[in-house]
Amino acid sequence: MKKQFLALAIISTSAFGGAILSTPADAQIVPPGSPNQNINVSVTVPEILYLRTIPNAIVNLTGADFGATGLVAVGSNYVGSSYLANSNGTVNTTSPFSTGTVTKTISQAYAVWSNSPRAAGVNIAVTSSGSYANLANSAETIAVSVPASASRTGVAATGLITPIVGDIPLTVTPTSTTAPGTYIGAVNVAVSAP
Amino acid sequence: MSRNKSTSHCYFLMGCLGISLAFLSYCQSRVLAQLTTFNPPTQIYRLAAPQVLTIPPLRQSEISPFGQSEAIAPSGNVSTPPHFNFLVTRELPRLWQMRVPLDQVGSLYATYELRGTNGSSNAVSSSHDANSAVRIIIDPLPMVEISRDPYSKTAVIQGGVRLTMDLSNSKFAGEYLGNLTVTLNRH
Repeated sequence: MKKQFLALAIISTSAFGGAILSTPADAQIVPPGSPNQNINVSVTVPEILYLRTIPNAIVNLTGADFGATGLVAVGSNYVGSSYLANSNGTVNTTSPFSTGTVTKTISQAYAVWSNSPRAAGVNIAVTSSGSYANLANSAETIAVSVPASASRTGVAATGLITPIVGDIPLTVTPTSTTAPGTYIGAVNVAVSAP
Repeated sequence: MSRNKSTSHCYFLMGCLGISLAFLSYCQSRVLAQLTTFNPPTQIYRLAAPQVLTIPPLRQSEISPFGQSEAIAPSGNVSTPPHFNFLVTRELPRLWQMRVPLDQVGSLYATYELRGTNGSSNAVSSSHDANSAVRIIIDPLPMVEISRDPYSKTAVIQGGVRLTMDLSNSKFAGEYLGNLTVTLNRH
């Protein structure tokens, strides 16, 4: 067995010696043609899902959001006046304000990076805690909701460089007795790659 | 199939402002590290190497070491990319072996050529989307002699590589494939 191996070594060395004469010394395959191997390489990249939000949103309601015209800002407050009388000369007591819903948008509120390879893409669910409490008096509340259209399903993943960016619309519903002040609540953003 | 979920609360103040808190739940598929083995060379000039080389899987924590969600500073831009670590390194010191005559041990060197299945050079390409690729820089590791046989006057030398993988152009998670050609040369 050992003799066979030595014989093989001698033959191979001879073949190599012949190659020295015909190829550059600094780029020579040893021996010609044989020590060359193809290897199939497989790399597995993990799935990444990353959510970023703004830390807080400042949403100001203005006098115009309450439907009245002619209001003048005085600091953070508003004042206004007008003339309007009934046919009998008495003052018209119809309220100049409307208390419907007010829509506000928080622009570019979140960004999502995902490299999901699945066709289902990315789902983004945005919800509101609903009732926001007055910082000065927690018994005072205001209703704030997020419309269903704020949530998105099946958004195509865009990789780890370009994010999926979204706005958050808010529907605020003040009442005729909503007290002025600062109200606090939460908007929840949940992201999944199903 | 992995399912990922990330959530963030954005507290908000009507007429003023709010605070943010973020949390998430995350799970990912686990892939066992596996470097396909090969038999040591017995014949001279026979290059022994695995037919399939599976790189130890890249971990989510290597790419996104700071977690999976955050609330940026109030003055920040929400779309500014997170500081993902797109360069991940793997060392494969035992990539190949070859038996050679003793007098050639110090005069050999290896060259490596990598080509993705989509034909791109120095890269592996996604099996999901051929346009998505991981570029790879190959640095040869020093060749070492691991055994010698005085009777046949031969030695077994071993070579390997350090792979630096650039994930910045890998749009999708999953398997990336290519073909690595190892060639032994003499100075």
